[in-house]
Amino acid sequence: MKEIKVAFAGNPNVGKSAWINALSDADFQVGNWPGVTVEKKEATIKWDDSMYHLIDLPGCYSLEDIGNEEKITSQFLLQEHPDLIVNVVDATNLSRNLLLTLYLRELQIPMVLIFNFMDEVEKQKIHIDINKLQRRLQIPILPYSALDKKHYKDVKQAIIQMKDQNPFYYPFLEGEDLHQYIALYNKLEKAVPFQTQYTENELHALCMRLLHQDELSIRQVLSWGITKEVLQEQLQVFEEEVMEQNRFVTIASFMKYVEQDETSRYAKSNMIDSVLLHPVWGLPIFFFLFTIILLFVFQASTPWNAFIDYLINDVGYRYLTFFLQMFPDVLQRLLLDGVLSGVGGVLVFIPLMSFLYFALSLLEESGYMSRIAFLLDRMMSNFHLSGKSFVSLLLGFGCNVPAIYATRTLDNEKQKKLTALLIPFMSCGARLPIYVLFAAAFFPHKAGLMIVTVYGIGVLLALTMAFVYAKFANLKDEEMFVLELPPYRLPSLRVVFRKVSQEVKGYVKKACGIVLLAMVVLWGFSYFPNGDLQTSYMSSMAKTISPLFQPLGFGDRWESVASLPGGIIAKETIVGFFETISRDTKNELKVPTIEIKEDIVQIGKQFLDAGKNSVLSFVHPQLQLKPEKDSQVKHIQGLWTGEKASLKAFSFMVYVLLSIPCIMTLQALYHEYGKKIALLSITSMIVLPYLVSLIIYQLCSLFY
Amino acid sequence: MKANKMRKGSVGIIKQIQLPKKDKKRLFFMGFCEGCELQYLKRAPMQDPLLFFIKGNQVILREAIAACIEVEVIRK
Repeated sequence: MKEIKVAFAGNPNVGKSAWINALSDADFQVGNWPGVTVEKKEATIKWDDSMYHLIDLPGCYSLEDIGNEEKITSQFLLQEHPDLIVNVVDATNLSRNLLLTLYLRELQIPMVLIFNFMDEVEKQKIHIDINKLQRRLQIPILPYSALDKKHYKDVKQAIIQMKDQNPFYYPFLEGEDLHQYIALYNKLEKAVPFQTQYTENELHALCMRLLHQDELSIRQVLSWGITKEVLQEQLQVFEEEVMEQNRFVTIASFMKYVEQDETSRYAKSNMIDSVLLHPVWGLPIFFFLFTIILLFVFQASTPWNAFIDYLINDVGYRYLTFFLQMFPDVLQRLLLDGVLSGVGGVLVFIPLMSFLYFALSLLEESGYMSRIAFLLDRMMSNFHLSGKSFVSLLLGFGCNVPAIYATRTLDNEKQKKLTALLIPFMSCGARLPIYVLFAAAFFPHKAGLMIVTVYGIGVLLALTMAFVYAKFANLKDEEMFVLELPPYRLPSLRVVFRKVSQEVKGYVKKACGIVLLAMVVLWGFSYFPNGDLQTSYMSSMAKTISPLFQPLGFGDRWESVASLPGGIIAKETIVGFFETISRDTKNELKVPTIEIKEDIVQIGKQFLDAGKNSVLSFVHPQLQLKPEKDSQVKHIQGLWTGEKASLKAFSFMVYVLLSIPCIMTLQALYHEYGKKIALLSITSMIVLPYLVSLIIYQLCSLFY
Repeated sequence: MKANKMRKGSVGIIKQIQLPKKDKKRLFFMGFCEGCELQYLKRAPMQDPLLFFIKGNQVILREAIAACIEVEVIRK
């Protein structure tokens, strides 16, 4: 089968992804471009007898080497030789969008232009003479909106037709420049080595790149035997400034075909912004909207998490146990406690991730996300972060995992990495039950204050570490900050839901591998050699190394040390650990009874409950600030007695706050930003908690 | 006059952009060129960054960058 590569290029926010989504309905691959954290999306689709790969290139304004997006786009177009470029253009803003079109045209790759947002063009009473424009550009123009279903097949047809053609795009040069260009072309034509096969179009493309002083092309031509002097003489007519000016003149000549009142594009947005970006009310409104988003993402998704948890850890656990009866205990335990809970750990995040991506897509598609950057830039720029980092960091208080995925919305590579590294310092919801338990046990009268203090220590350290990482991990952002505020647009729910399902699918696919492996390894340490936790390798190792934690206070009880590795699986397991360890009897596997009919009814019931609770908890959010069982508190109180008991407990709370992020967070870091950043986070989270707890314990001991 | 000192809503012609070549180019592709019209719209609630209107687009710049753009005001 023939493979056809179709590259979608365009400025940021012009609806490239929406068009790819519209044209393909399945098989979307989401990943990163090699070496950078810019998202790469590719859809594969079968039309007629060929496989079409629709590739979403990062949004950029030109093909010059000024940023990651530009670099990726031009490298892809020059090296991967796509069969066709689909240039998506915001038809309400042609004067700037067509600049990229001129760059793309020079590559001499067959092109199709999509004039997106045509519905808005009509509303804003913009008149575009499409016929004349398409004749000047020599490129077919498809004036359709991605929201308008009935034109999808026209675009598909245009792509299929265009890929077999081999058009030649004349350079936009006039007078003396054109003569010089022809002279250069003729010289090159003669100089082409016999064995290299250059088509006329490729030679023209090379010629155009030479005019723009492209280093690589110059080197290539020099290797053909044309001397530097001759080439310089040919090229000196085309100074950089002249060429740039030339592009602007060309675009100005296109704008003759467009009648547009420049102010109408933002007319509606300006009205909305007079409220949302108000000098006094802008910030309070942001915080209000953001509270709603936080409630939506974390509270409304919780009942669904509970539902999935029920499916896996109740129904799934019972059925698996039932069918595994005849196998040896080790295998049963491996599959139940290692594999099943690993899969469960990944799947339980699906509701949270879906709600998060839904909220993020709404923010991005509507255009409010860029406004957040505008509102909060001042505050965050002090810490080498951007306004959008604030969104990610706050999400971190709910859960670090979605917060790290949210850093994708940032605009600059170093800021993304820096923000992601700071997120584990935001104390997540899973760490709260640990503080609640310890605070209730050791600070019964000022539990709230102690918990807030722990959160505060996290934030303070994050701000400090921002400088440390910026300075020593080379994450200081030196790129100039410049950002476009797109006009507000009503997000299309279809596009948003597509995005959510793609992202969630990608997450599950990638997370399962690493998480499963880690879960099985950790399970092994807590099971072998005897099959119970108290005599496991994990416990005996904790006993051996607990003296290391003596200077921190809590090291005198090995249980506290042994509870920490479990925190890598998920922070809340630390609480569970203390419970398990206090039980004397071995936790025997009981063979459950199974009633399929009963279970199906139960699943249906739970599903409806989840739906109901999801709405309820959004309207009436609740925060668990009391430990669930009093017996737990009693047991924890027994850990430490004596005058420094509460100090030891506090030192332990701080240690938990800063200790290695859970496996899901690490996998998000690894998946988004690679090994180096994940390792940097692990290293920091091994060194820092020790240092900080040491300082706190030793300093406070002086005053006790 | 520097672009960060413009009055709210006033329009100027860009005379000169005093920035390193790479930054100048990035601004250039966002529509900032010498001889182009630039309108200053407003400041963020915390005073920085600034919002401009150029070539049919709203673009955010930090104060320090705007201070490198020399304009001649033509409309107040």
